[in-house]
Amino acid sequence: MTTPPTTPAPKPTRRELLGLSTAAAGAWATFSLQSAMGADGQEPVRTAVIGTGGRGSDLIRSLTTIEGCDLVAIADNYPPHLEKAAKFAGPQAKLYSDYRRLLEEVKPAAVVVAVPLYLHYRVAGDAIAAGVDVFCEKTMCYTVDEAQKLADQVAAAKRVFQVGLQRRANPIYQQAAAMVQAGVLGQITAVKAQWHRNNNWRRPVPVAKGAADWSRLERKLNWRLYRDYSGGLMTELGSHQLDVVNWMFGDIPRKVTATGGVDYWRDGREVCDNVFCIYEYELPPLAGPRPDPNAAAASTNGTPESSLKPYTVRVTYSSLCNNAYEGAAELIMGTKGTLYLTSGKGLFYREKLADDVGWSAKKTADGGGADASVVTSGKTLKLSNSPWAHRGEPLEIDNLLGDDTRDELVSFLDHVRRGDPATICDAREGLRDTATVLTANRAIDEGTSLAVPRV
Amino acid sequence: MPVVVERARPAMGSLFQLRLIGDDAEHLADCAETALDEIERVERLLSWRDVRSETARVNREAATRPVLVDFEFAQFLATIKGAEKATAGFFDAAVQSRRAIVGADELWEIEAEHRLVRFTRSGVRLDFGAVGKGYALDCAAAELRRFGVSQALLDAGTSSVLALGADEFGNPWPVGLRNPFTARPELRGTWPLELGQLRLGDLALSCSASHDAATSSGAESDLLDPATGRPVTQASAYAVVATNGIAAEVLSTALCAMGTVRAEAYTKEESNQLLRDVVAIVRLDAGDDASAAPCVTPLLLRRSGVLV
Ligand SMILES: NC(=O)c1ccc[n+]([C@@H]2O[C@H](COP(=O)([O-])OP(=O)(O)OC[C@H]3O[C@@H](n4cnc5c(N)ncnc54)[C@H](O)[C@@H]3O)[C@@H](O)[C@H]2O)c1
Repeated sequence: MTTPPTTPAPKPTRRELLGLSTAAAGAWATFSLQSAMGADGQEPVRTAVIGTGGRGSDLIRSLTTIEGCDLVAIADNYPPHLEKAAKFAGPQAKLYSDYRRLLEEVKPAAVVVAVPLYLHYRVAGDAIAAGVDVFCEKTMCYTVDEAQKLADQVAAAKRVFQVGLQRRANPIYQQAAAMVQAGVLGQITAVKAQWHRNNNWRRPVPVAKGAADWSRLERKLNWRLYRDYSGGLMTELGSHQLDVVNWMFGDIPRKVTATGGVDYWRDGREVCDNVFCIYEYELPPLAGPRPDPNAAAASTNGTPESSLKPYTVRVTYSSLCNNAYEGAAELIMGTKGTLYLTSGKGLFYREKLADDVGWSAKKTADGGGADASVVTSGKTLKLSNSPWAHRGEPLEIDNLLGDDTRDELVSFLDHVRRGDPATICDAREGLRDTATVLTANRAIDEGTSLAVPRV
Repeated sequence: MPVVVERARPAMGSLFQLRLIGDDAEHLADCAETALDEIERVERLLSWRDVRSETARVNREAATRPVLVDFEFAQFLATIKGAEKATAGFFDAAVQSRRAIVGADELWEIEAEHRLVRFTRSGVRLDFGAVGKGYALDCAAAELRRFGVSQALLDAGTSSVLALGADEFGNPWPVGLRNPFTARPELRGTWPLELGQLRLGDLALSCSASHDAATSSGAESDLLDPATGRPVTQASAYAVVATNGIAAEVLSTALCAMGTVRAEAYTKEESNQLLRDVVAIVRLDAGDDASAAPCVTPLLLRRSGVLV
């Protein structure tokens, strides 16, 4: 495939950014995604999937619903997974146990990589070297060094590359990003994110524990739990949520302090079953409301210079495998409001501000005639004893568009078709995400605070 | 003594409860979680309430153009379309739309070969609430088998059950049939709670009642008559045992919508494809007055020992 001259990525439209909450806007956005593909009589993108386990199967199913995609082949070196995925992929897809043979023989235009983390670099790198555009599941690589090399390789080869961080394709997160960037939350001063579950994070192994094959299959199927293959909770879960923060802040953290351990599921696993991190971002004040240069001069608290100095925003992140109370969410806290974000629902709470007294009597513009206050005897405010009463009623942000995994693939294939490397999450962003989560893992191991490499 | 592991998770608006029998508790627990994950996956595929589901995508788009769906969903839809035909429309996945759309026959079409779904007009909404649990049970059972579990009871919250192999005593799983009409004030306390017992091994069961305990005293049925889109008026209840969950769900629903006379004739149809998957059909009779006790009436019984 030749790469046409780079065209700038289409900016999300205002409607998309606002995530307009009407059925019409929903249908319209889906259609525009759709009409970019296939329907215009162009050749569909010849796509292959490498790694057909849990995630690979989901991606296969989504790919088979996209008109502009021709799923030509799938590869997996574990026959039961390949067989199961073959049903989702359909009879037109060729089956391979060796992904290199797939690349050689099928010569797809694009591959979707959903193998365990430690293989991302090898498989994605081989695909790029074979001249293929790549969609690579998160986290982009097993080490920062690999991620750096892969990002460089992608840039040199001018290939289209997207990391599977699907919140970037989710209308709730797109709206949240727009709200943060427009200053609706005021100045962002803190973020609290977590992914808390209560299960052992294991997959069943199809042979009995005593069997000769057990330990090989255990490591093959439960690769997440072993450090040779996996970065544990940070790469499997944290990568999604810290990418959200990186995306909204337009930067990566400078520093991370972290701790964690195997403190509950002592079943032979090597990765932590609970992790706690504090990240420090240095942000220009622009992330909040822009200081008015005229007002700043007259301001009593703070000189113009101090208001322009970068400030630190701390982000706490935790992930647990033994209590699900808090679930998975990001809480973005600003001086004027708070966003609570999940993949299926967003909530925006306004802060109760000191000067927001909410006068019940209206004053007229000229100040004449109207009452400064109105009193009614006998009426008192009903006070609630709910501990959450101070939050008030949230503004709800809904996803009316559909499935973010399908949408991220539609977007990827559209970029492949147009030869446009500016995907919704390119290799640079993947590298930054990788550095963010892997530095926390190192900090846990070394029991110290570490600088996050400026990648 | 075999090991018993139990797990439960809410899904599809009810509580799925699994009971697994084997010899390795840890393995059974992991298998149970995998089966529950599979049930969640099916819910995400089918639930029209979830904007991410294939059903929701079809409901949004299929009135304006043919919608390409994945292989599994295409096959599921073809099965459902076949079930609609085999029940003369008494099972109807678009029944929710019938109230507003009068007189139209086919509201949706599936071109299975090209995996394309199309609505014949606007205002159509597919809803697989009546079969979703049965399909989820089928898929979950397949997962359990994949990991070598051959004895399990999968209960989708009282109305749908799938039994794999035998129970911990080596017998077919005993499943009691509750009297769905016990809440009728005039009958309460008079008749037994349980009307009969089924014995299930590698079989699925679905029960439908047009009027259950909550709705029997005058309230409307939540089962709709495809002819009018309005709640079914005649009270009836059926238990259907079949080799798969979908067939059991489709038939128990369709029989309620048919009314008792037509339903009884239907169970005698010799060449009906859908009935081939059926092992037993049992009608649960309310016993209208004090002289006629509630009872179970077998309408079709292909295997002895299933109904005790
Ligand atoms: N974006 C998301 O929400 C999301 C969700 C789950 C998983 N993931 C990511 O997807 C990736 C896969 O995760 P999973 O849960 O599907 O794991 P999995 O174990 O279910 O699947 C991985 C598959 O890769 C196959 N594989 C391993 N080595 C191979 C090789 N050399 N050639 C071909 N196939 C090979 C395995 O046999 C297995 O079938 C991971 O990177 C994970 O982080 C992303």
